[in-house]
Amino acid sequence: MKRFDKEIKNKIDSFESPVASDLWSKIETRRAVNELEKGIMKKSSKVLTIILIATLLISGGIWSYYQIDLENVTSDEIKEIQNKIEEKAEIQSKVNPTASIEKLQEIKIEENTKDNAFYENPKKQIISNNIAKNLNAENNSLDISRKTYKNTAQNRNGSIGDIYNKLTLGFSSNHARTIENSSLQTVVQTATPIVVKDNITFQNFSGILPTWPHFYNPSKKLKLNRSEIVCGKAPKNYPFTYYVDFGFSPERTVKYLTVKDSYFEGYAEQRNATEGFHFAYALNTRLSMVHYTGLTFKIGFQFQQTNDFFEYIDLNYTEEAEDGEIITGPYQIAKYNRYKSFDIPLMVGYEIDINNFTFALNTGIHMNLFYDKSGYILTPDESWSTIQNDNVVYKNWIGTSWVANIGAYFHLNNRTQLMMEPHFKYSLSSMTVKDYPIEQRNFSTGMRLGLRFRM
Amino acid sequence: MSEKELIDGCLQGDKAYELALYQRYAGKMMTVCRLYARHKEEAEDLLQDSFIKVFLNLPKFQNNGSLEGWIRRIVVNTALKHVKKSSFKKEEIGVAEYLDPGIAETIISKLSADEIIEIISKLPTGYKIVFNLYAMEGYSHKEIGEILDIKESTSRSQLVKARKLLKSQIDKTQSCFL
Repeated sequence: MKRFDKEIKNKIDSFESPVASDLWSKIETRRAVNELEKGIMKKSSKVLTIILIATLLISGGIWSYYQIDLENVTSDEIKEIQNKIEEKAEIQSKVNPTASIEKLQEIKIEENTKDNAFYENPKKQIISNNIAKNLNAENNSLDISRKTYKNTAQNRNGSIGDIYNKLTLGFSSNHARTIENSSLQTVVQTATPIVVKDNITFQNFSGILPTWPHFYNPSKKLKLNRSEIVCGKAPKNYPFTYYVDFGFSPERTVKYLTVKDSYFEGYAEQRNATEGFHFAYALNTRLSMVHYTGLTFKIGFQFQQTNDFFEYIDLNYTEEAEDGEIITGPYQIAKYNRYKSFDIPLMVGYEIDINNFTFALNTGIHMNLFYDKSGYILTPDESWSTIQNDNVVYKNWIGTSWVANIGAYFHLNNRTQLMMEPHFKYSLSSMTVKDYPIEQRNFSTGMRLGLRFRM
Repeated sequence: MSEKELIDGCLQGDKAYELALYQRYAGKMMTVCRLYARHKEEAEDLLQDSFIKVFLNLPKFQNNGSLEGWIRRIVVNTALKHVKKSSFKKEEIGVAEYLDPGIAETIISKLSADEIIEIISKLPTGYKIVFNLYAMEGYSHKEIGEILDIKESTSRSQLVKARKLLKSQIDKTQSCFL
């Protein structure tokens, strides 16, 4: 340290500057306000926690309600249900497609009376309802019955009813050559009366068929193989099918700058001139929960990195060389800035199967966990400054973004799908801090490629 | 009242002890704030923010060093963050002129501490920070480079320029009195 520095330090080091008399009361007030805010935050985070726990409990309850009822199906229960189905088949055997409405009503009353005792058990009720829907026990109309079969055929998730349906058709196909090599729709039309008239028994049935997504596709031919029967194993994921996907997405990002004060318009222009977004990419993994109706819920994790090139010529740059010489003059700064975003995607969508593809439309939000950045940025006084995680320019937490995509999933096999998702992401709130004079929102678009696995 | 008694009293939430701590260090810390701030109001804001942080973080204070040194570090860090933020604000910073040096270092002794602080606070932000960190806080250029995320050589050149400017400003002030 030079003598000059020491003299200055000695002069002012122990000097006590006068302080405004009201500063202490200001500090006291600010501390009290902070405490109050902290209390409110604590309270609201408590409420949020309660809401979150309640949501989880309710979701878990709904899930387990379906799960338990259908997971532990015993052979006795299957037998009992089979008997019931036989009983229904017997009743339905009385149905003549040309029967009068009065006759149908009479059969319906008979059936309902027999059903009452059986339906007292909620578990049986659920299973039976599925079967009942497929047999159309509630509506003794063959037309509706056909529709029910068709709907069931579109159900990709496999309920007991579906399985019974498959089994029925399978047995039917053994009994009636007419349905061989027919499309499912034709099969349904042909199979329904056969099921009724043949009085199908289930003596040889010792298990439940696994679910095969392609089987439910109406445009597909019926493919039922007895070897596909998995004895004693009930479908586990009723009424949802779960998928996990892994994707990589090359992206392009555009930034939108809005000045808070017209004074900074020039600065915004200069920022646009000195920064240019280049290549961006995202990596993600998601868990999808697909309801048999096609409704989809997705949750997961995404990492996105946007690379930006900062280039600026500082005309007043000065630097001291190794030999102590001061160098002044224009200096070109060229550096890649990196913006890394760690997000949790929460999405809802709808999926539909067409041939070997599943098409999806999804939308939702990305909740940011952390926004990490490094590099340089121009300052309003035509100087340049570093970008760090210090909440000076960009926030460390950039809130939520709106996301949407169109998904096309090609079925490679029964479990694996090739994923293609053109998508976009738009920041709902400004990524810059309150004190920074410019608001910034990013719009990213890209094509996600990856694999999706059925669990 | 000893430093330990002061800390214990504050930790128990005793307002009298908190006031005593504030009164003991406010003047010195105001000097630090003035060295980084552009004007008195900004210095007071810095001091206010710093003391809020001091009371908030006091339970984390470990008696490894002096309380004054610990408070001073909080003040300097608060000031550095503020200075960086203010470079993105509309407020105009006084543009310093380059004046020829040529002043005897002894002139410093003729100026009051208050006058010197005033001159330092009027230096351009970049020079002022490097000078304060180097001369007042005792950081090396390497450390300053890490704190401000600039090259070590840039810190050196900023310091050289800060000294030159400071000397010329002191000279100018001195000549006003002559």
